Amino acid sequence: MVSGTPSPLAPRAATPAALLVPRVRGRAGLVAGLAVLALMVLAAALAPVLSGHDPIATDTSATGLPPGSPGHPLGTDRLGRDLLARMLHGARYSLLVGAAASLLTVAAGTAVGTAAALGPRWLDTLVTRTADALLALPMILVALTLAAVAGPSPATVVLAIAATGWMPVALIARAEVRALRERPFVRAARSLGHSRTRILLRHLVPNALPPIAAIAAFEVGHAILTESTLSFLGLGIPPNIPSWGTMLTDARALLLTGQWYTVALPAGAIVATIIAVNAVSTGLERPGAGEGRTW
Amino acid sequence: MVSTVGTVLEVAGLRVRVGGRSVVDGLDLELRAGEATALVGRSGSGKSLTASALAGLLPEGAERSGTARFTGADGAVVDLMALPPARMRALRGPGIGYAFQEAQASLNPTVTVGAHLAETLKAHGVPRAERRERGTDALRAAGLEEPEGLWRAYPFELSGGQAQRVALALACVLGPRLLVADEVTSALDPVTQAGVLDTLRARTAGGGALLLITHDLAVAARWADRVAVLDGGRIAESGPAAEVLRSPRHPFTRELVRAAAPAVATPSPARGGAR
Repeated sequence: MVSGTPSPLAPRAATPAALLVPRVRGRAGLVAGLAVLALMVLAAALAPVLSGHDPIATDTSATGLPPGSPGHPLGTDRLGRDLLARMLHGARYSLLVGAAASLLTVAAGTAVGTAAALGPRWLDTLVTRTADALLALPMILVALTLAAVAGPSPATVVLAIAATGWMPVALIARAEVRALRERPFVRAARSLGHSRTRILLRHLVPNALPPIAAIAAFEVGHAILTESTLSFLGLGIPPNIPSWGTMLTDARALLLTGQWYTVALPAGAIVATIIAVNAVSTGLERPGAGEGRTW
Repeated sequence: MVSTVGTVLEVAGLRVRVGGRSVVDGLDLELRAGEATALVGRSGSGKSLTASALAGLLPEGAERSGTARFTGADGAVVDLMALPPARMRALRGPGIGYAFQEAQASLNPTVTVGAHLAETLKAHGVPRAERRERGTDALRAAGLEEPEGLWRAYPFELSGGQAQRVALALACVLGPRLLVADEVTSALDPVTQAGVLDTLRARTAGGGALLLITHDLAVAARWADRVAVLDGGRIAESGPAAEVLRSPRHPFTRELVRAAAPAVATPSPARGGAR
């Protein structure tokens, strides 16, 4: 080469698999987290196949069966509903609401934070003051008010979670974009005649994503927990729809009667999901952080 | 018809204020087609700020005034200081190219070399089919011998010299009438530095103007046709490079020449005796 250095550049494959392989290698946490999440999604998708029971059908002849009972591997609840069927069908709503709510939270937070960083000063003030005020309020109070006004439904839960979770994402996105705005490569893009929109989408947002991705993992946990909490309080997913949160609601009366598994199963699933998401997010942190490459 | 003679940029009474303080205070400068002009001065004398002001790239909080009459390749004259944002944006790239001091940092870490070039061409309406070829041509013209291999490289995979050449290719890909090179070789070793400056100098043969910003008088002496010395926010002295550097008239220029003299004129003893 011209500068006398040998070219370190071999042609590279750009397939998604090839891009993912070096990130996965040597990272047990990432692999384990992905595997747990994939299993959960698969189990949720195959719920009717994996369990022959109807998750909402009651059976008065089989109430309160312990795990390991014939025909009911995880037992039944006090209405005789099959717990395995309820866990599997519940995963559908819990995972869907968790994913939708965290996506909405992160997307809305990033958009609001970026607008605050690049927009007029009054918008910046409005966004930061609103975020500060909402952060100062107990989150559950805001979510409860929203859920109470709009009525219990999965969509309400998603909106309530996003409404109470966007602030940290927005504040981080705002700080990142403000810092990036004066970076040489953003000036260089301006010096080449790129439009403001192009600079925003191609240069500012992608480089602001790593810290946002880190907080997004927390948002998934926050979303699943809030769904459970709202459902537990009777303001989330309606009780006739199985979700891990509604299962906890149903089981609260049984907590001290020896039927601990009715609580332990949904609680364990929630904890496992949150741990898996955090493992994935930690594992995705790039090893070459010092090299200047962001993804 | 591309104009290869005459003035490309005529700056009059340029003032730049940063935080209420005048850093550039009434600067006059003329850049001609086919010529390289070196803007020299101490660190912090406002060289980069001058170039930023002309290209409309001043940081937030800095204000500029004055006139900068820019003559395009088609002969049309515009005042860079009074141009509406949309027309200024269209002028950046084909009209004015800007190469930055920190080459590696001036490339987006999440975007490949090829995407940098292709996007810049796209932003100025170059059809998709031509982008790859024009991009690799620009890399080759910047002195990179394997442009195809570099196309998919990310900035962190480049050496300092390669990054500087990629940044130059990017600034030149649209064939700017005026190229501003802001301390582009300060961080490079002497051999790479000479190579990059030769590449820059070769561009003026096509009728473009080159504004070479440097604190290195040896660079100015070897690669510039004209030298303008910046002191106290004004041009202290300007003229043909050989003349200004051989017999400086202004006290500040004399001081600069004297400070640089040992390095430029006398070979250091170590060079002869080391091996």
